[in-house]
Amino acid sequence: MSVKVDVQQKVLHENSRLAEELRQRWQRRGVFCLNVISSPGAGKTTLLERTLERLAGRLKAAVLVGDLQTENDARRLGRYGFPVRQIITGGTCHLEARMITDHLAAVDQPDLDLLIIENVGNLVCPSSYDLGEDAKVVLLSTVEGDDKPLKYPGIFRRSRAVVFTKTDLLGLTDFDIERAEANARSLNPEIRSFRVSNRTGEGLDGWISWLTDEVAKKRSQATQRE
Amino acid sequence: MHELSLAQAVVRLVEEAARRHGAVQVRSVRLQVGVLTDLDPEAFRFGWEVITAEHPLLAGAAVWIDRVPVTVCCRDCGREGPARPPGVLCGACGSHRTQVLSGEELDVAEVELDVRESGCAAEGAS
Repeated sequence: MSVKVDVQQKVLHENSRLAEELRQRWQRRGVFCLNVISSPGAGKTTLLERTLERLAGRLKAAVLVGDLQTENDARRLGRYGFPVRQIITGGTCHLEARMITDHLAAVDQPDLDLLIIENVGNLVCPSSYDLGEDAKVVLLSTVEGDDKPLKYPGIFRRSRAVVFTKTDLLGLTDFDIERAEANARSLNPEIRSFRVSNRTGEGLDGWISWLTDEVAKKRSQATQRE
Repeated sequence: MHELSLAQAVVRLVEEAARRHGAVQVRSVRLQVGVLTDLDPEAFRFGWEVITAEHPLLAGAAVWIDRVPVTVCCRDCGREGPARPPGVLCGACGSHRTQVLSGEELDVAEVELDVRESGCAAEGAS
C-alpha cells in the first residue's frame, strides 16, 4: 500500500535552529557577529588583516576562518593578538552553523565584542547558510566583473554591506565601480557600500568606523536590557 | 556544489518521515524550491542518487522539484504580486523597495511511502 504524506519541513531547519541559538547567545552577550563572503581571491583575509591591525587594543575580537584546506589564513590572521581558529571543511564549499558551534570554544572569551567569520571563498553556497550573524558582508574586487551582483543576486540581496576591494587597481581593468554599485543597489537598495584598497589603506577608515559603530550599538542594546 | 549537503539534509528529513509512518520503502519525494533559492536540480539529483544508491528505504526513490515563483510586497505602491524578473522588483511599479513573500523556499513538501497493509509502524513482533 502506498500513501502520500504531507511533510512541509524546511530542508535547512537544523541549520536554522543552530543559527538561531547562536544569534540569541550573541544578543544576550552583546557580541556583534560578522559573516564575510566573497569569491576566492577578492581579499577577505587581507581586509581582515587590515581590520584586526586597527582594532588591536580597541576591542576584543575573535576570528573563525573557513577553507577547504590549509591553515594558511589562520596563520596570517593570528599575528594581531586576537584568537583565531581555522575551520577546514575538507571540500565543503561553505560554512554551516554546526561548524561554528563546534569550533567556537577555541576562540570565545567572556568579554568578547566582535566575532568575525571568514567564510569559504564562494558567492553561491554560503549565502544559503545562516550562521547566526548580525550582518553578512560581501566583497567584490575590481578585477572581477562589475555585473557580479546581477549574476549572484542571492548574496547581494542578503548582505548588509558590500566592500569593493583593490580600488588601487581601478582604471587598469574594465571594472566600472559606479555600475557595480548601481547593480548591487538594484538588488538591495539599503546595502552599505565601501571602497577600499587594502594595499594603500585608502577607504579603510569608513569601513572600520561602520564596523565599530555596529559593535558599539550591539553592546549598548545588551547593556540596556540588563 | 552545496547540493550534496542539501541532499543529505533532505535524506535525513525523509528518513524521519518514513520511520514515523512505518514505511518499508520511499517511492518519491516532492520538494518545493523557490526560484531565488540557489539550487541546481541536476546537481541535486546527482547528489541524491549517490547518497541513496545503497539506502534500504530510499534507493530508487524519485525526486520531484516544484519551482516556486517569486512574489513580492511593494513598500512603495503597496501591491502584492509576481516580481518583475530578473530579481525582486515590484511587478506593478518597478520599485526596488520590496519584501519577498515567496520564492526562497527549500522545503520537503510531500513523500510517497510504501507502508505495510495495516499501516502500523514496523516495531511489532512481540
